[in-house]
Amino acid sequence: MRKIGLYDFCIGITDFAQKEIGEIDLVEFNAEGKIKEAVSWGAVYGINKTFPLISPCECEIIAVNTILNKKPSHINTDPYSYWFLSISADISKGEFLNYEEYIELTQ
Amino acid sequence: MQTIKTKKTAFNAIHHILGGKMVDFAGYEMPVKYKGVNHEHEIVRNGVGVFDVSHMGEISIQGKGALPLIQKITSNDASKLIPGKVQYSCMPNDTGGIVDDLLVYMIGQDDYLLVVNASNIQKDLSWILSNNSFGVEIINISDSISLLAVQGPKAVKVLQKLTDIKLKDLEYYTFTIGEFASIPNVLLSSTGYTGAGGFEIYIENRYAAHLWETIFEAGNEENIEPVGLAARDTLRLEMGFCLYGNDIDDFTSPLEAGLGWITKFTKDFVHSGFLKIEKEKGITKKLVGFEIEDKGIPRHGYEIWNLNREVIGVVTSSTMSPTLKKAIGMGYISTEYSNIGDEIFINIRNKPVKAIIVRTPFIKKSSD
Repeated sequence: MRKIGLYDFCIGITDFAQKEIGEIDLVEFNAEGKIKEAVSWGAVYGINKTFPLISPCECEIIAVNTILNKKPSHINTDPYSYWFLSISADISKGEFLNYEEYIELTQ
Repeated sequence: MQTIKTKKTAFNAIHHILGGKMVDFAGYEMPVKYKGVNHEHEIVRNGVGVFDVSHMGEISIQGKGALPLIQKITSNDASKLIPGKVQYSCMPNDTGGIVDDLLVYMIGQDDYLLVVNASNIQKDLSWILSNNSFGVEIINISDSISLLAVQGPKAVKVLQKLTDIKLKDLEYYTFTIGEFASIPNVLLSSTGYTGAGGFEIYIENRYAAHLWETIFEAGNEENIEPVGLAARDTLRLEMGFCLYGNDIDDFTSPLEAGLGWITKFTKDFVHSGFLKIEKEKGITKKLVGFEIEDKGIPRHGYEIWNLNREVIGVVTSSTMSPTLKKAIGMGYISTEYSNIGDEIFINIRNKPVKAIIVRTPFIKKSSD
């Protein structure tokens, strides 16, 4: 999750997640507008498994990254540049792990 | 509590050194991929790739009653075999399902080798032993045999450097035993489950490291690469080949699975009467191939729907085809909906996703 405005964020998956999934064949989003926390808003398709995407907070979806429709494998090469959705949410970044805390947790 | 130790093949250390991503597969620690599934798939379709398939089971059947035993337990007609020929077959159970699918190698008179799926070795052994009323010697030699599948259009060129055996003369589904890479008594078989052509090489475990090294040296110019089991699955699925545990199992009939061509009623085998009746009455569901028209990739166990969202079948295998760049799959479906070109819907995360029934294989064989 990357802050891009006062209340706006880009959201995607981590390098750790893309490595666990392996080659990504398809990314699908099935929600729009205002959505609640912990709601399924899409899925990432690996070679032989589908991983559900769950909203981390109550938010409003502003945009979907359509580049991923054409080439979902971008996520494998550069997960932090290819965001999935941009959202607007009244949350504080402190509620989530930052990059350093996350790396510490996953290593 | 009993802990089950994951078995390792004789190539295990090599997989680790080469950076293979290792997973537990049918009780064995096996490489699922190295550089990437799509890349490895491509290597096999257009060049040459090497799979460690030593986890497969080998059962030796020897003695005067060997052929009668094999005739009793398998559905194909093993009397058609001659030494040096291989036959794809299946072992029907006594409830209309399949114990396993397998390869039957005729080594010589009263001497056969059955090659079975890793996950079924013990089940198959018990089943064969329980049917052995012929006094046949049955030995599980799986743990002493290593098996490499060298697959792809360039496999002949690479392997020919290592033997005097004329590999081009080995027809599909035949084998020979001879010297290969200075190793004596190697069983070289023109088989494989990729549809890309190539060979399977059976050796004793102690020669494994030498064999691997020699093959990779010989294949250097052809850019030979190791391939993991994930690409084996995408390759076999593009050919419409069944995978035990996915597309066939103890509860699916060989006739429903489209394996009528290896179900020969010219002889009696376990429960053949039941299958004969099934054939005469006609099957109510069958295994078909489909291509997804919309977005989504189904997975094993997903429901197949008709237009009214009624369940008419179930998905058994599916993947994004690296060759066709679209999602393909197989599944059992009521025969009335199973014609080529019929439109079906697959329940992907509670949404009907359109698919079309197509003929398999999904792609042409490399040699076609």
